[in-house]
Amino acid sequence: MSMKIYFQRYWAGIVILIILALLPLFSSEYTKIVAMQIFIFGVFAISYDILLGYTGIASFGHAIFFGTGAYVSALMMIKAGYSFWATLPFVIVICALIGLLIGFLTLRFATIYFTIVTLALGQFCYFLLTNALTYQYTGGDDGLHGIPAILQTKTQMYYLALAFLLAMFFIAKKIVSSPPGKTLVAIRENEFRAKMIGYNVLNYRLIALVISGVMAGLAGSMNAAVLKSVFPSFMGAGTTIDVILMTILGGMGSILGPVIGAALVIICQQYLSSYFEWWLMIFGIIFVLVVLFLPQGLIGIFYRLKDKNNTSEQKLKNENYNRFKNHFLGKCFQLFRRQDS
Amino acid sequence: MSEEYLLQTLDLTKSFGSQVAVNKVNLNIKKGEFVSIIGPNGAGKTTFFNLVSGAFKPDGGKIYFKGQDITRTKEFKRVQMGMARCFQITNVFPHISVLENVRLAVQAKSKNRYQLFMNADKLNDLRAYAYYCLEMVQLKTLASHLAVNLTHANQRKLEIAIQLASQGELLLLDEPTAGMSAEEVPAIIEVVKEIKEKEEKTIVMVEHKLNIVLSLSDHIAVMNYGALIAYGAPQKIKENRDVQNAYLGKEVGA
Repeated sequence: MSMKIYFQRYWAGIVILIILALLPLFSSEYTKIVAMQIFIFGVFAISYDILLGYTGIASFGHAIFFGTGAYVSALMMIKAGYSFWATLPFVIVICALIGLLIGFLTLRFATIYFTIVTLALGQFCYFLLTNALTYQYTGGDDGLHGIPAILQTKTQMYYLALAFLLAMFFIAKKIVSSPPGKTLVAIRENEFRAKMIGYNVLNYRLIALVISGVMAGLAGSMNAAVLKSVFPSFMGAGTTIDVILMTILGGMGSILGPVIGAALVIICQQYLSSYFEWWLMIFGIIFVLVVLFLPQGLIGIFYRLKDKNNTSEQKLKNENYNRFKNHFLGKCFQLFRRQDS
Repeated sequence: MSEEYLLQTLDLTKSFGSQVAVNKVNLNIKKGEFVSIIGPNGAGKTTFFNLVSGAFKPDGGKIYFKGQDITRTKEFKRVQMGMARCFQITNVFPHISVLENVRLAVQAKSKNRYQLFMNADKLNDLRAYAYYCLEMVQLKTLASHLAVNLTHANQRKLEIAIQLASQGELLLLDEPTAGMSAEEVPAIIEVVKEIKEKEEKTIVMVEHKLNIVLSLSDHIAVMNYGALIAYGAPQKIKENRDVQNAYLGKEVGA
């Protein structure tokens, strides 16, 4: 692809990248922290999108991985003096094992049962952290503090977090366009038929859960390093709900959408909350509006803008894409409805 | 079991509650044969296919494929061993393009199916084979459409293309002409004929339209009330009294 075409296609992304790269030069410390949170939760939301958007299984305990990553890194750095980088292989292995374990237990029925079991496991892990028995290791409700800084300045940390997001974004993109990535979509569309053309469905779901879990775990580690402390809320249901909101708001099944969702949720959390006491209500209204009028999430706006000056072939592609998204969102709502009754 | 047969069933039985859907069926199919299974509605033909392809677990009996006992083998492993089926009720990936539907089936048999860091769209041999399968069923021009937007007849063709893409030695065709109007049928029959002549596969087909069955098959198996009541060359089956009774429903009145 020549440079010119490359630029034409991705100019918006390139402009945003340049802005993000220059941001630390003229922003406050506080803004940098908010931006880092967006990058980290962006990765967390990408990992959730692989599970919900591509594989079509809704986990209500995804914070298990995020919390595990954070606590493994924090404990190893504080209690055993490991460097941050040395903790990452452990985070990867442990999160992969947890993914395999949860997967073997629950993925045979990857429907509403998976959702309920992951919710229960998430709560279990949360209480494990805040229990009196584990207090001496985990610090209970207070969490763990005094994680040594891994880089000297906030600006360096900012670039590290940005590089982390970019790396995970491209890895995720690579994975969803690989043969197993395409298979995940096929399984989501028609599990029975996927089996009948020779796919071992359980294996593919395990792959998705392990990849997603490891990615979420790394995001957790990164969060521990940025905040220099960890809290049991990392593992809590609230964190899971946040990531679900980010993924659905931004637009699932697109990898980029959830990052946009993460930005919106965190900006609302940080800035709306200082102006309105009832910011959650405003946020709720935004969420309802997006679900009602933008069934593909916020990223749907970009698709629509793109649609205007496109060839007919591209239009057909977009139309197909919309159709698929609406179809899938309908399925998701069915899931939630069933849970209510 | 004997290597002579590609597919063998031994007293294969399946019941749903008190209803015996498949009752001690023994069927031996040689390599390269074209066998049709006929019988009235509810005779157990599709259930038989579901047992052979692994969608249902049998209550009794054995299934041998290429001389191996596959009675307890998972459905996806049977496909990997060389079995491929299509469905009477169209069962495709609805919101995926026609090409991708077929490509996924090719990919399932590829050694790259677990490669996480390869771009699936750049695996050209997979795509080329998918195009070849689409060409066989005359769907190549519709490759970029969503499967859900195809007409019923074209969805049936897509079913067959997906099945071809699995590159199985044994094809289980479950009513390829189901739900089609009279003018749509010949196109499908042409496709089945072409597969029979070009691909040298072993084919087992469930079909209602007798003229098709009689002209294509080497052997015909007749099922009624879950049991295999006749098996033989087309001409013999045509003259068989039990078969005539089953089709004309004389058992009830007589």
